[in-house]
Amino acid sequence: MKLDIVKKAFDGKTVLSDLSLDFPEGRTTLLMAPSGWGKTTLLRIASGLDRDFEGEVEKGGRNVVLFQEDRLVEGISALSNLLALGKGKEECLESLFLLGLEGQERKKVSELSGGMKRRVAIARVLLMDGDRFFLDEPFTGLDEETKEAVASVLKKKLKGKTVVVVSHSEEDGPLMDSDDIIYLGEKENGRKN
Amino acid sequence: MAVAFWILVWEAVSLAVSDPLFLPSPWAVVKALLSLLSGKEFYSSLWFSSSRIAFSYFLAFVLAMAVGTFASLSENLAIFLSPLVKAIRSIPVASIVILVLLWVKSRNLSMVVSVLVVFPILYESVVSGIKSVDRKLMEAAEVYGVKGWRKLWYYLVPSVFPYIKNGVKTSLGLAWKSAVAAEVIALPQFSVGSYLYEAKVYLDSPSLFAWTVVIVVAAAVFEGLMLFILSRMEKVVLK
Repeated sequence: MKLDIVKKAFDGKTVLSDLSLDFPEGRTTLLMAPSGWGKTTLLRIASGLDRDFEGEVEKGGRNVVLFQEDRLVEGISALSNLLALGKGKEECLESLFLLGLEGQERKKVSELSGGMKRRVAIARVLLMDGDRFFLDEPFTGLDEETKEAVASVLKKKLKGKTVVVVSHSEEDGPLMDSDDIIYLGEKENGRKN
Repeated sequence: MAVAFWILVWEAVSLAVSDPLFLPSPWAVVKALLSLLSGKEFYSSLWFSSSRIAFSYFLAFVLAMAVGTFASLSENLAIFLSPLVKAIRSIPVASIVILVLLWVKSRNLSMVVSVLVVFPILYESVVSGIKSVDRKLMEAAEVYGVKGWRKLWYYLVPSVFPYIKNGVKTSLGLAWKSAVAAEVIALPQFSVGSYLYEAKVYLDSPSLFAWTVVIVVAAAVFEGLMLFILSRMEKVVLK
């Protein structure tokens, strides 16, 4: 999946410019950059959410985004947040249980901890039938142990899909077993295999 | 305990004043209340007023939900309605009563007044509730293919519901106050307001107090009932 950004500006201020990236189909790419670099902007452009830029993004298939914020409806339960997708109850529960949220499904999102909310947001993404998955800082708010468990579920469920993980932490690369790492900033780009 | 204290204060002041016209004793009010409760007219007037208030509240609620939703969807409609809603909200209830009395029969006046008092409060609750819905949440709904009734049920209603609940809490008491005020001015037969007026005309202070107690209790029961319905609805909506 090719991405060419000539220029992206907010209120006349250039945020991204002269950027060409290639996310190989069916592989997991870790996109790393320091905070404030414009990772989320890049991800929004790559996933088609932001079309207000100069350049081109190769289209193909359905894009699914895990937002940096959880973007859950706080006043309703974790399960209802998933049922909103129009999927069956069993399927929704299975997705929540996969992420270790047994016993939390009927609790209102506002009553859940930050880490649990993150996992509900991930459970929602896993229910989507997508071809390309853009995950913005997927492990925010998770402790080490949970991070590993969540990463293993993500790897298993998104196997064979095109996955772009945006992160500021280098640890997320091995955690997601990423095939490629793209550093946006000082470091050299690296490719496994 | 606090209630008992204030009743004692009332008793003490009424003894000091020693004129039942200015301040009847609590006992005199209880006697007036008991005599009210034994009369047939009491129940028919209570039914006359409360059924009208309940009906007009329901009407204002449905109207506010519908118009508020449409106004949230169309900015032009919101701008168009804004002066009207603001005007209704800021006009004193007494002015509304006198003006509306020229247009409708006295027996229906309290209903029109209640609707006019309640509607703007509930309308603004719906509009600000819908406005408060997080745009990021709506973007997520789009990305995850949440559309139509599922978007309405899972995304909009839970966000707007707390605003409606607050609007209901604010407007419930006002519905009763404004309706009774309208009845006192329009004097429809067999209404709570007309009996209140009668008590005033005949300088029957114990009855005036007794009717006031009735209105306060009736408004509290109405409020309790509505809040009960709302809490049941909340369990269904926010689950």
